[in-house]
Amino acid sequence: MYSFNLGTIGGFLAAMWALIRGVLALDPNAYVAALTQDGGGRLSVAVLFTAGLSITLGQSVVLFANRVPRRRFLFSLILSSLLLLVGVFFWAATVWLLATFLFGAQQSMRNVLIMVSLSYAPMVYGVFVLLPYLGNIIAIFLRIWILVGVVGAVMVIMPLAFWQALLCCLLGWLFLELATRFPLVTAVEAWLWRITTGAPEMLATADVVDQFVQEMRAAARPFAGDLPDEDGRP
Amino acid sequence: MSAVVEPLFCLFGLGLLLLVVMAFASPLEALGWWSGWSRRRSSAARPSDQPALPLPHSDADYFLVYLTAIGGISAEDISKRERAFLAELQRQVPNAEIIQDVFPFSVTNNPLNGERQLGWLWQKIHNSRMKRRGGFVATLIFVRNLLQVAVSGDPRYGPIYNVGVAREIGLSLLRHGYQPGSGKPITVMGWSGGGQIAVGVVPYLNQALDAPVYVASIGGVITDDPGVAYAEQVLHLQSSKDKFPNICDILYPGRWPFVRYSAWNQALQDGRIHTIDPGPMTHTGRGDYFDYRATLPDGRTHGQKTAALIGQFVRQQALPAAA
Repeated sequence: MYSFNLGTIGGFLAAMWALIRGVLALDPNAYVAALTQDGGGRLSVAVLFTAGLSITLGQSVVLFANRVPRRRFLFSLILSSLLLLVGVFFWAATVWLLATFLFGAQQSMRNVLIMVSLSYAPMVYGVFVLLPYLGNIIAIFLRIWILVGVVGAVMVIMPLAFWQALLCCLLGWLFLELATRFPLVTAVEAWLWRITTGAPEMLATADVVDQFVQEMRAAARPFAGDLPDEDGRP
Repeated sequence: MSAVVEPLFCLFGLGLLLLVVMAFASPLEALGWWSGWSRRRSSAARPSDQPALPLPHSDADYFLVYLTAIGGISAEDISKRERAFLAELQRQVPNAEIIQDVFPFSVTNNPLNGERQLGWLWQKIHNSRMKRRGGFVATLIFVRNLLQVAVSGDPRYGPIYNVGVAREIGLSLLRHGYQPGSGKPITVMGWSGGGQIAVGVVPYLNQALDAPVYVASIGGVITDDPGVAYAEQVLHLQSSKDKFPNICDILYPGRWPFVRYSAWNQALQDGRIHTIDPGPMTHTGRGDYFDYRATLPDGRTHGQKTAALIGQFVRQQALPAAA
């Protein structure tokens, strides 16, 4: 069912699409095909990168809010997608470590990485996160879909019970969340943000808007120059 | 059979595709304005870019801003019954300045038939609607503006969208003689989807103009926008015949009664939201809140009753001691 012909761009894209469809349907054969056929690793990275681009576009409000210029926008999208690769690598590594040392599973780190990367396939719908109102719901749904996919993939390649696979994945995700809060990691993220966007720091939308309101307030005040002050003096 | 069903499915598919495309495009106007990507001259998203205006001074005690519903294509092009309602409201509160030059479904107060690439198309759709020939196509105006309401109520886009509309309202207030810091109450009135925008702009008007801001919602479709926390009082007129506003009770978690710490529920607990049933009125069209032909048992028209309730709400607002 899954036979890859990666000799041409069309063949590569067709294989990628077949894998994405398989993973979306949570078909174990798709995972097995990626592990057993040549080019499975490359395909899984391509799926992950595509998913990364899509979700970054879906969450691009942060770039707009920080007034990132058009030229830097595309650059920021690509970099964010690459950062997703790093995050997935970290998650896969922790899942592998936990499965190996907690439950004695025998599997190569490379295979776990392919599985976790492929499980990000639902994120190809990440661009839909851009939709007003529905976007927030879609984002949650996609994260759950990915978690289910990763747990299923781990169970395909390791002889683990459901709860063991779930534990490895959840703990791996928790470590990833903790790691992103390390001062060194946040400093690197801030540096990457500065060089890609040209903005001094990443501000939340509410903070940027607050700055704007203060400017509005200052701009409106000269018009109130004739008003009496607090003591009632003009 | 399939000769009928297939074209119907095809039409449905096309409609769905159009809806998705419009939904994708809906936050882009606000984001383009904010980021400076928009080519529109008035899109300069820095308050300091606004040239100093020769501002008049108004002796009015109350400032009322009217935001139309999702059927509108511009602030000027409001219906006859809305105009009649505003005239009646002016009679109810003669010492009020009523402002109606802000189009709430554009972050730059740009009407649908204004400076836009598809301005001609919106004008055409509007024209056919006026001739009662619009049919399905005319609903595109409703869909487009409804999506802007969703943008305003979305916590990701809402702050940007609402601050843009608040800026336009603030500038209009200054043009109409509002003195920042004077403490004179501002009431933002919104009909249907305009109700959400009215709530959304409250924090920014409150902070930028140092003003107490009130909201009067006329069948307002209001999300769980945190802006309600900054409103002095909210008057929500909703007829028992009008079920449209109830949709937000379902769609927005902050409106669910058991989410006790949401801004909406906090405002309810503080007694700052007053819901009044003005009588048997529909959401829009014949027999709606502004109808000046349909009468209530007491002989007043719908528009008169609505204006009387809002007039009473405005007159009860505290004025600054010096005023």
